[in-house]
Amino acid sequence: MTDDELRQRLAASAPPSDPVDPVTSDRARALMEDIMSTTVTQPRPDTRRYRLVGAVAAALVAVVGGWAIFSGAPTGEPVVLNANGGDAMASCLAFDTATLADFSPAFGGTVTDLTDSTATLEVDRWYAGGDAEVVEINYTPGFEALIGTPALEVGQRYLITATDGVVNGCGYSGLATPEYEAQWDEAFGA
Amino acid sequence: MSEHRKWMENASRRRRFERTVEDVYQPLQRYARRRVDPHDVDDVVSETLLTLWRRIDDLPAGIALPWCLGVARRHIANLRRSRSRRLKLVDKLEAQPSHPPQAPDHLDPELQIAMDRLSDSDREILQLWAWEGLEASEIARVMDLTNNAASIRLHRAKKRLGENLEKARKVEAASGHSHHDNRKEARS
Repeated sequence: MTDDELRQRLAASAPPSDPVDPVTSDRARALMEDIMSTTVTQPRPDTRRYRLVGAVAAALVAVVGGWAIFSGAPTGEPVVLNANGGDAMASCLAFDTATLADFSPAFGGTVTDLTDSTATLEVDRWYAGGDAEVVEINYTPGFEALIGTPALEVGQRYLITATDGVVNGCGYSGLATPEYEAQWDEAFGA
Repeated sequence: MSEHRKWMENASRRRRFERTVEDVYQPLQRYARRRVDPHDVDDVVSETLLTLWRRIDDLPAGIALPWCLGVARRHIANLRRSRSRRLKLVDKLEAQPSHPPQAPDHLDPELQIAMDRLSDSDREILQLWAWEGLEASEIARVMDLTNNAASIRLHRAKKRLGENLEKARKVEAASGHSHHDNRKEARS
């Protein structure tokens, strides 16, 4: 069977999806107007990610469900990275949502298990770059300060970004307060 | 920024958004309708378009549809995850999370069997290729893969499907032969 034949055969097996609302319908128009009435913050400058200086690193491990946390990595394999010690918050640039929006992976999850070196989080929402059900963070002393919280707690929810498998500090990971979550919704547009 | 300039920028933004929605609105609905319960479709579409409105300034040219499908994909995954979590205390055999509509499988039972034997990832990539008509670079954008990874996975998925179809055909042929023999025996 040729590629075209296979594609046609698969296309014929698609679940029914028509009819769909035309974009000229009143319904579509009302939806667009409602969305366009949503306030958007100032257009972001065309700048790139700021470098985070002196952040304490923690290894980020995606497990369970078989999905790799980083794009391009094969599924079914956990990603394990080394942790490097450092001086937390030694030098942080100002937080802004433009920088937050550039981070991938980014997720929200609740701590379900905690040892003195590993935090296990059950993910309830991916904002970017992953699909795992559970993430394990292998952390070193000072991690709590990195993410701006006095202590990690089982049952607490956190919003976490990482770069190259290392959890970001400087305000780009932390306790999921309503205000912080609103900043994330704004940054990731969801 | 002057008020006039703000107004101009907002008007430009609105026009960009409206033009983009013209291109993506119907394919986005179809994508959602093929994958979630009918009562979740509006939610997926409106959340995706809201994200598009917020990020319209960042949207690179020419990739609006795969970009939007990638956002919808994430919304659907979050929806399923949230439903699954709420059902944890309930017997999952009795209360299933959201299921997409199914095509009648009598239309192509051989294909159904062959697809069922694939991994979720293979199935998803083939569905994006055939149902949404996307090419590898667009699939890469939807699934947050590199172009290279998407090409390789698509190639492998097609190969595996082809092999499964061949197996399904052989099984059917063998069953047909047995059935014929049984009938011959019954008459003698």
